[in-house]
Formats: sequence, structure tokens, C-alpha cells
Amino acid sequence: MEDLIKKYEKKLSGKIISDIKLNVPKNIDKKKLEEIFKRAVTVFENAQIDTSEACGLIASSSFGEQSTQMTLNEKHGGGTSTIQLSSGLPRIIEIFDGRKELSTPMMEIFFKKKKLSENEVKNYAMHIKETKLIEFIEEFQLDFINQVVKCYLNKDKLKKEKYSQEAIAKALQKNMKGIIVEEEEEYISVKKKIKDEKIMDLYKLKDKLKNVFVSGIKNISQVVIVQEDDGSYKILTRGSSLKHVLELDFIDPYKTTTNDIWQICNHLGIEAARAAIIKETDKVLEVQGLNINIRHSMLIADTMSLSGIIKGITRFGILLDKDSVISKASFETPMKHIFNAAISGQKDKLKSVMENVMVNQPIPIGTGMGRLLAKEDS
Amino acid sequence: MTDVFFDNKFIGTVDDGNKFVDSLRISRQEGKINSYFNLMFEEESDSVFLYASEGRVQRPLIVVKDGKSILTDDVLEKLKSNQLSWSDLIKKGIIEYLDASEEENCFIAFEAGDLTSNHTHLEVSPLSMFAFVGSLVPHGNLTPAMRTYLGAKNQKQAIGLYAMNYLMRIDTDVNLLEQPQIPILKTIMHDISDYSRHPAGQNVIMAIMSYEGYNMDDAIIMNKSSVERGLGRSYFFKPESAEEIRYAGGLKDNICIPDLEIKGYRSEHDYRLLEDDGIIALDQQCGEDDVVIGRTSPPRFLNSSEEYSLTQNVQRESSIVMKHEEKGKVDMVLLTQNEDGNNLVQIRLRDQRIPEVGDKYASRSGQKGVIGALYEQADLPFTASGLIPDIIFSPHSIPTRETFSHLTELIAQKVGVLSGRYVDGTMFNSEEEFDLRNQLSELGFREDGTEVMYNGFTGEKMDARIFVGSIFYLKIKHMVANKIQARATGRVTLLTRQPTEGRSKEGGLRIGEMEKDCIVAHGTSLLLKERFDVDKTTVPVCERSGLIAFYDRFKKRTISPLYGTNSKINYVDMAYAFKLFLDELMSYGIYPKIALVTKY
Repeated sequence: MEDLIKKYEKKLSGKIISDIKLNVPKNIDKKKLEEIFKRAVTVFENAQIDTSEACGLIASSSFGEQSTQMTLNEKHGGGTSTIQLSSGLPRIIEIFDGRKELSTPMMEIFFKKKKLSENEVKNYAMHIKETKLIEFIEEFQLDFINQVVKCYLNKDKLKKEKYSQEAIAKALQKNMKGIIVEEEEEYISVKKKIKDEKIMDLYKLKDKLKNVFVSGIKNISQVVIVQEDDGSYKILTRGSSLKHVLELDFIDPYKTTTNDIWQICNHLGIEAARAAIIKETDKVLEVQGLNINIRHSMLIADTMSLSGIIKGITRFGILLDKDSVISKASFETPMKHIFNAAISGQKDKLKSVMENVMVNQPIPIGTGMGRLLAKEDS
Repeated sequence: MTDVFFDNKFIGTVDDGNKFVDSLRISRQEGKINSYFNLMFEEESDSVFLYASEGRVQRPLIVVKDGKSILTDDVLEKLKSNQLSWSDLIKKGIIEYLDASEEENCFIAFEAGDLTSNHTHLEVSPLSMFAFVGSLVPHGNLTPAMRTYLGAKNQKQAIGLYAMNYLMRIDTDVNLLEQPQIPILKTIMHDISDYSRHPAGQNVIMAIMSYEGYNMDDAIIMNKSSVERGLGRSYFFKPESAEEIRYAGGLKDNICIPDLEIKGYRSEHDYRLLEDDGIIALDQQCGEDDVVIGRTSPPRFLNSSEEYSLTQNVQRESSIVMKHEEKGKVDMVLLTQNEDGNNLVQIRLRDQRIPEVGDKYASRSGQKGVIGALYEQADLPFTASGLIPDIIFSPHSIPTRETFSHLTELIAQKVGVLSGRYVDGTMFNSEEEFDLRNQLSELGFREDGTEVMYNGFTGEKMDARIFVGSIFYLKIKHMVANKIQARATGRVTLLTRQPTEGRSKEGGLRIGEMEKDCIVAHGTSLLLKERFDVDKTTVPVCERSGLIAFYDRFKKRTISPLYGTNSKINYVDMAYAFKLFLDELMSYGIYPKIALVTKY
């Protein structure tokens, strides 16, 4: 086996050789092993692209053509108790643009313990979900004379969610500025530090109080418990906050994910973000039943992440890094690029495709790569 | 306390919203309030909404009381004998007009059989869910809704008899079917709308089979002999008009055969069809580039010296010429005056359109297709009785689209043809398929509509029995004669020196952005360059200034715009559009400097 490996070392990549090593039975016939190597070489060579192949354009065309087949703006899950996810073309655009604000941020949370009772999971879910004051309120009373909002809490709900009136009062004081919170026997009274005479202001205070964050993790507005086939539980959330979820001690930090690529980039690093781009793209394609070779999404993910942060395929992202003025101008906002180039006196060396198409010269791709090496005598 | 809103404006409160709404509804049924008035009680917000404004869509429904329709049999009898009319039914409160808001409070039964004591209304007919064209689709309830909708859309584009007075009209781009027929499978809407006065289609014999492969992928094979007997022939009418406009200063257009001296005179050959009055003769065949109305106009801009001169003989040619790919016979010539009192000449051109490969046809079930081949009658398959189909339709068009109405129409029309009657195919109310099949077997045919057929080329009996029947087929107005386009070299636009765009301008087919991407992706770089060489130009470039130089014809030398003759000039090939781009940059005040490098 060793001599065969040595023979093929130069023809195959190390990863493939170690894969073959791992997966081939120890007592394999030498002829069969040689055949395996031979076939691996053909497959490997077929998978390589030629010099001067327009791989980026092929990747973009592969997505461009297939995306015309996608159903526009389809939401799946349709009214059931799962989390709605944007899918199809809008989601693809969202990923490739490298947007920071997603239309449907979502998290998938797994637990450390394999065997959990349903009650435990519900408890965890309660911990994660963002809760606002309005959910605990039985009634608001406005005391116009003392300029005080009285919050009567729902006792049953408090019991159910294991919260005390005191805890809520503390959370209120902590999460909203400029108010004084006092706990009474029956209610919590809230007043402004700066006294206003206007009645409208008291109404405004009441409306503000409704949305004060009390417990859980911010931005996670909805949780759905899902039991998987093997009996283990996971939680799907609407809204995403990777940092805060990873801080919890009961979740499995290795499996828990989000669909927010920027959060992954910020907390897990650029390589994780690159993998996330590929994974998220593949997810969309799978739902739509399309088949695009993973290498295309890998190439796009590479381009988006090679500078160390996520750069979308927009005029503010990777296109800003292009060298050629004409090439940049041919994409979007041409005048801006041309004026900036004129001010700084930039040169365009006509090195890439777009400029040469515009000037009508052979493009440096495929057959256009050939050059005569002899120099002209002047 | 219930809030009451009238046309979305708050007008007051009542104690019990439900009671209030009920009492109002009763007084409307009694005729005390206008019958087009609608009301709604919304429980969630505890408010009553009253509507009487214009612009609400309303529809009539039969009132139901205690689970029974109050449109009883004796009312129907009275209606039949004309003792009662529709407006009487509304006055009596038997029929109510509801709008979208009031429907929220109602429980409407689709059919009389569905009625329970909870129902408040009953549909006048299940067909009322469709509008006019939709209800012209027979057996539409058997087919997916999308296909029924497509079937309805196809009928809008079908060629027929669009107006009885078409001979006296001058319409733009209309089609007229030569021998339109009434469908054998009718719906009630055909009778209501007097479809026999504006039919749009023909009953044809169709076999569902593949034959020689020319009906793949939604194509159909048509019987050429049937076409020669007049199947699917239509006329295309197109008007042309010319006006004698009067200009300031007593000048005016003149409709005549233009003189030789006139500016922009075409050749004598182009004017050959004009009669002495400058208008083409009736029934004259004309084609591309022929002048149909000769006209001369005064010059566009008058110099101050010319304005008062008596010699007005510098008239300019402004004739009406047949456009590219147009032909026809003159069907009508109309001499009249328009609203400004100017003389107006209108002519109508008629062009016969005989079915040819590429013309579009459709059934009423949303099954559209183009003609793939025209076969002589002798080459087509025939049944034992000698029946030869007019159209051979591909069976592959059926399974994925589930257009069962297409199949049932074949059976229903076959029964109609054989027994000499019309068959009712109104949606939800049609004659039962089971009965039709029985009638078919009573008529001596197989009840499933299939027949033994023989190959037209060899005379061999076919292994499978073929489904044959009659179907109402529509000729759709999109015909190849109006769309065919091809070009090698030809006209270019003045500004960019690129080929013109559009069929009427003899335009080319553009290699667009995405097509360009395909060629780039293939790596065929020189092919792309050659393809974009259409606007190639060789320009002199001044090497010192990097600007485009120009050639001075008198001094016979090339001159740089900055350094005159004081620099080296080189000739460079580039796209003309790129030269324009450089010019545009200069117009912004940007100095685009070309640095020349030897490439090889």
C-alpha cells in the first residue's frame, strides 16, 4: 500500500489519499487498490478546471439561470406552528448581498443533555424567549394627580412563569431610563424622574412601558419546540442573538446555529461565516429542488470572505475592490466611479473582461489568453 | 354600546348592534331602504358599518330563510311566464345585492342541495363565480382552475367575428375568421350572450395520438386538405391614413403623385400603384416599400427669404409607404374630413392568412399549441368509417396539466355531431359524462370515444385504438406572418452605428448582456470580439496627448487636437460606442487619455 501511495502522491491531493487510506479495508488486493487510485486520478483530473476558464462567470451564470426557476417570495411553513423562513430568490439575494438585517432571522438551539423532559425544555424555552412587560400586565391605571402609572400584574401568569413582582420591578428599573419604579403591595408604580404637567406624556409613558424588555434574550420574539425523530428536543426561534444564546450553560454550543451570517462572522470568525454562506445557500437550493454544484457556492463564499469580513456582492462590497474603473462603472452608479477616477487620475490597464468587451478587444479568457511571446523590433 | 359608522365616518351609537343590523336588513328586504345599501356588524370591534358609497363591488344572491330558498318554484313559474321580472325579485327581497363587507356576516350556500338552517343566502348559480369569458369554458369544473382561466384567456385572443359592421369600420390591426361556427358543446352563457352573432372558432375533428413526431411539445398536426377547404383561414385588416394638414401662411399638404423635382423623391417604381388622385386603387395588391398614398408637404423650416417668395416649389415627400414585411390588398378607400376640417384619406388593407407552420391554435381548455406540420389528407390516419382528423393533438399534453375538460369535450361534441344537436356543457350543470357515453354507444360507437385507425402512409392498422372526437378550436391572433424576423447585414442607427432594433425597422437580434456572458463562459474570446465588431471603427490616436485625432481632408494629414501636426499618430481599432463613451467623458470635463502599448 505504501509504495502505491508514494506513486500517486504527486497526482492526488493529500486529502484524497488520506480518505482512501481510511475507507479502504486493510487486507485489500493490490490490483483493486491500484484501480481505486487510477479512478481517483481520473475523477480528480476531471474535476480540475483549465487555465483561463471563466469560473466566476460560470458560477454566477449557474445561479442566475437557476434562480429564474425559483418561485418568487414564497414562504414555507404556511401558517403552521413552525418558524416562517424567507426562502427562494429573496433569501439568496439576502445572503449574497451580505445584509446585516435579515428579513427572517432564525436560530436552531440544541441542548447538552440528550434526555430531557418536555417540561424542562419548556422551561429552557421560556428562558430564551424575549418577554415584554405587556405580557404580565393585567391592567394599567393612570393616576393623573400624582403623575403615576400603576401596573397591575397578572398573578396567574406570574406563577406560571415563576416570576415575582419584585423581579419585574427590578427589571423595569434596569431596562428603562429616566423612571422611578416603586413596588407597592398590589401594583408597581412608575413615574418619570422629570415631572411633566401634560396628560399626554403619561399616556406616552404607558405605551413605552408596554414594550419594556423584562426577561429572556433580546430579539428572540418567538420560540417553537421541536421533537426530533430520535426523541431529542431542539428549539427554533424567530430572531437571532448568537452571543447571548452561546452564553447559556444548558445549550450545546457545537450544534447551535443561526442563519445570520454576520453574527457568525462576529462571534465565530470568518471561516465559520464562509461555511455558513455555503450552508445557507445550499438550504435554499434544497427547498427549491434545484441542483447547483457546491463548488459554485464555495467560490462565491470565498470571494465574499477573502478580505477577512463579509463583503456582499454589491457596489459597496466586493465590487468596490475592483481595480478597473470601467469595470466598476459598468455595474452600478457609473458617474460616481468615473468622476472619482478622474479626480484621482486613475489608470485602467484593460486587464479584465468587462473593459475589453467595451473597447472591443479580445478578452483575456479562454482563447483570448494566447499571446505572442516574441517582441516587436521597432 | 355599539359604534355606528356610515361610509367609514362615525355617526353615533346604538344599544345592540346585532338587533340594529337585523332590523335594517329587514327593512331593506321590505323595500323601505335602497337595495344597494349594505351593512355589517363586526363583533371584534363591536361596531356597525353602513355602506352606501359608490365603487363597491356587489353581487346578487338569493335570500334563504330557515334553510329554505325563498325563490320558490311558483316564483320561478311566474318568472317564466313573465309575470315577474328581475327587478320585482329585488323589490320583494328575494334577491339581495351584497358587497364584500356584508358577506362577512353571511353564510352562503354554493348549491341548493347544500342548504342548512344556518345559511343566510344561496348563490344564484354556481356559474356566478365566473365572469363572462370564464363561463364560456365548457366543463371547466373538471379541470384545474388555472387551466380554466387559461382557457378563458385564450378565448379573448381568439379570432372570430368581432363586429357585425366590420365592413364599414376602420379599426387598427383586427382579425376576422373566414368561416366561424357555433360550438356544439355550449354553455348557458353562449345563449345568453347571443354567441351565434359573434362566434370565434370552428368545430374540428381531433385525434389524440402522436404521428410522425411533428406534434411534439404542444405542436399540432393539421390537415392540409381541410385548410384548402377553408379551415382556419382568416383575414388581417390594417388601416393606413394620410391627412392634408394646413400650415400657417397658407401652405398645405397635397395628396397627389409626387413630382420628380420634389425633395426625397422615391423611384417611379414605388409610385406605380397610385392612381391619378394619388391614392392606390381598390383591390390592388401591394407589398413592402410600395407607396399607398402619395403626399407632398411644404418644407419643415422656412428661411426668412423663402417665406415670402412665390416659388413654393421646394415641397418635400411625405408619402405613406408600406412598412417592412407588410403586404395586403386594398379593401376600402375612404375620403373624408377630420374634426379640424382637413382632408383625410383612409385606406384599409386586407391580407388573407392561411394556416401555416407556426400559427397558434387553442382549445377552450387552456391547451394551446402551434402548427408543427400540415399533412395532405391522404397521409393522415383514417378510421374504419373513413373519418380523417383535422388536427392531431399530442397525448403528452394531457397528463401533467390534467385538462379533463379537453377530453370530455371530445366525447360531448362527438355525441352532438352524431345526433345533430347541441350539448350543454355549463360548468357544474352540464350533461353527465356517463349519459353522454351511453348515448355514444347507442349511436353505434365505442363508449370511450376510441376508434380503430389505419396509418395513412402504409394503410396498416394501428395497434392501439385512437381517441377521436370533435372539439371547438380557436385560432389565436398570434400568427407567424406578423412575427417572422431575420437579417444578415442591414440598417444601422445613426448615433451608435449599431444595428437597428425591432421587426418593423428590419432590426437585428441583439446579443445582450446575458448572451455575452454565455460566450465569455465558453472562453471563445475571439468569437465574442468578432460578434461585437459590428460597430468597429479605426480611429487615429495622438500618442502625445492620448486623444482621438482627426483627418484634415484639405491639407491631407491627420491633426492632433492638442499638438496639431507635432505628434505621432497611430491608428487604433475600437468599438464606435467606446469612442462615443470617450466623447461623453470629455463633455463632462474629464480628459480620457489613451496610452498606446504594442500588443504583440
